[in-house]
Amino acid sequence: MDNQHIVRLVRNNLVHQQLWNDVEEAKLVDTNLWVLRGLPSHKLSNDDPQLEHEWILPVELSQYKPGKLTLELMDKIFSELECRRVTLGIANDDGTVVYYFIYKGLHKPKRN
Amino acid sequence: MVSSKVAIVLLQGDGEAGTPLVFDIESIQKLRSIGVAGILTGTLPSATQQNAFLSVPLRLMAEEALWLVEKQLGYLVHGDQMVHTAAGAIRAEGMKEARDELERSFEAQREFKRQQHHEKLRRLGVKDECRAEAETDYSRLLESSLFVETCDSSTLISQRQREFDKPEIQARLAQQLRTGCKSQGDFHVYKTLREQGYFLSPGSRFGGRFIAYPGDPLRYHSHMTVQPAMDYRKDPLDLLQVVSGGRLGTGVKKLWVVGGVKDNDSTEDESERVSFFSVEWAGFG
Repeated sequence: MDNQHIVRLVRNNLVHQQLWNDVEEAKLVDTNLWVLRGLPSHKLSNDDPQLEHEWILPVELSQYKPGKLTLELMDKIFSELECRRVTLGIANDDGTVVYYFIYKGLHKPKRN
Repeated sequence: MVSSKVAIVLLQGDGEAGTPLVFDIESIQKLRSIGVAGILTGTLPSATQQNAFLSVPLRLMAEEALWLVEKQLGYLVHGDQMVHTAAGAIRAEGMKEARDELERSFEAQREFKRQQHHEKLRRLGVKDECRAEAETDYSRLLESSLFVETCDSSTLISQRQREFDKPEIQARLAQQLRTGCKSQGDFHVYKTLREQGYFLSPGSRFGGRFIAYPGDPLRYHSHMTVQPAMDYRKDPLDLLQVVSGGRLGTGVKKLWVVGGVKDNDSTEDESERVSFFSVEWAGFG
């Protein structure tokens, strides 16, 4: 999977639309994927103890091409980042970005 | 009890893998205590629209039935065959025995009611001479108040059922049930979740393969909508499904869960056969 071409798009969305701080790009060693790391403008979930840096994996949603993100790949990403959740930054083909948490293993729904 | 295993009746139409049903109430209680709730489907012919208070039989998912067989907690019974052989085995002596049994039950009821009746008359101080003619009226009333007991389970059938609990028959019936499943991976997903203590029910209401409850569904809300099993190495996540499932799941306070099943031939530990990920809308964007 190659996500280099959408890293900039997702980064811009985080910085300018979601108003995140310290957004940095990084390349993973094992999978050659690009990830982003940044600090949200506010706490993302009531279950989080405090405001923390989040890992974002930019992925492209294409209506015409099959996806490449297998669960094996997700496992590799989790083992390299050593974090409890990764946020998928899904870049749609109209240029908008939506964000989804992925937790490794089974997780309880968040409290409202 | 001769066998504490639960008899699961496989009802098969022509060329169908079959629907696993449980008819015995004690068995249904037992299943619930081991974390298999199933769905009650029995209804009355006169109230077929009624669906809030359904009764036996309990319908199981194919994965549930297969898991119970694998764990030696249950055994499959060929429904048609069993009923036919049981019905064919009824002889005149058996019928007479049943009639005698019914007559004995009637006699016991008459005896009990007469005694109650006499005691009541004595308490009210009714004299013996007035009673003679009232007695025939009372006997007629008594006859029409006798109960015929309807048993929860049939002894005739429960004997026949046990004859199916042999390894070669079980292997054959389980194989038939397995061929009716769309994906073998779903069984591993079911098994892994079940053995972690989750109660599972069919998930089509929320657009998944299973719904997982952290305990008995009467006590807990479900936590997860589990998607059909994926191949751990080959199947990519469908991002359109991540979006639709994640949005819907978060809307109904459930996590959208995917499980990837690793190949059979790998030497991995059975408990690490399935790798799960939980998806939830991040709350922004």
